[in-house]
Amino acid sequence: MKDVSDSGAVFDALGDATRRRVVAELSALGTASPTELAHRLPITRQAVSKHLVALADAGLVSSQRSGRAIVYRLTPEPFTDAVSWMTQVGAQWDDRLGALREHLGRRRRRRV
Amino acid sequence: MRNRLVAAIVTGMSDVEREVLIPAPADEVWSALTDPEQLGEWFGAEVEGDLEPGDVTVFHFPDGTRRRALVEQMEPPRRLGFRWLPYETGTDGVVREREGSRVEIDCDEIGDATIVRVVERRVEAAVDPFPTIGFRSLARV
Repeated sequence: MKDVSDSGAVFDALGDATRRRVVAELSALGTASPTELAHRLPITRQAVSKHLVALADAGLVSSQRSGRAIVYRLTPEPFTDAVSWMTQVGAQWDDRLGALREHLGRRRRRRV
Repeated sequence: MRNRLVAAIVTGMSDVEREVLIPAPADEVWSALTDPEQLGEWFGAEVEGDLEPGDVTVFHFPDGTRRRALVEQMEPPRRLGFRWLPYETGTDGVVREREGSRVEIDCDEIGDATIVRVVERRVEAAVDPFPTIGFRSLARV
């Protein structure tokens, strides 16, 4: 597991459209091997594997051996962290923009 | 729940976007965005230093922490772009790494009102090294 504070990497790893589709499929399947994912995507198993390695480097997926295959699953922490960042930053801007509006309203009234 | 969160991120909703209609012309909004005193008033932080492209502005927050923003873009009265540098100074004076992000504020004047649109996007520290102005000198601010 990667350090969660490092998880701005979430956004970098998800900058690639195909990789986002791999994540979406993996999210739907729970756990899946590269072969299973390749059946659901218009790319080869080798390409799927490459994307999975990049996602694993970003701490977004983890892998384990299942018989002869390696299966992958999403790791929730980076997603949770990313979403909590978005929630927090969004709430801050809601407050600030409300305050900006009031600030400008006060200035205008003072001038009238 | 988790799948919904994943779906939101996967479909590219990873930017924070906000829009507000302000009943004031764009040049007044621009002053409120860029005059340190006015900015501090609505932003909820004391703003140290003028906002000039390429300059670092220090935000002193009420909880005692400080963050630095690198002003990257100023196109009055339409666009302000800055970057939260990926660290903050705690109340104990110790500088800690945290996530960086880029903020773009666009102002669109419509009649005698202005639509202010904010987009904040998280930036990974690894691909966004400390600016060349120097981490150490900034840390002393």
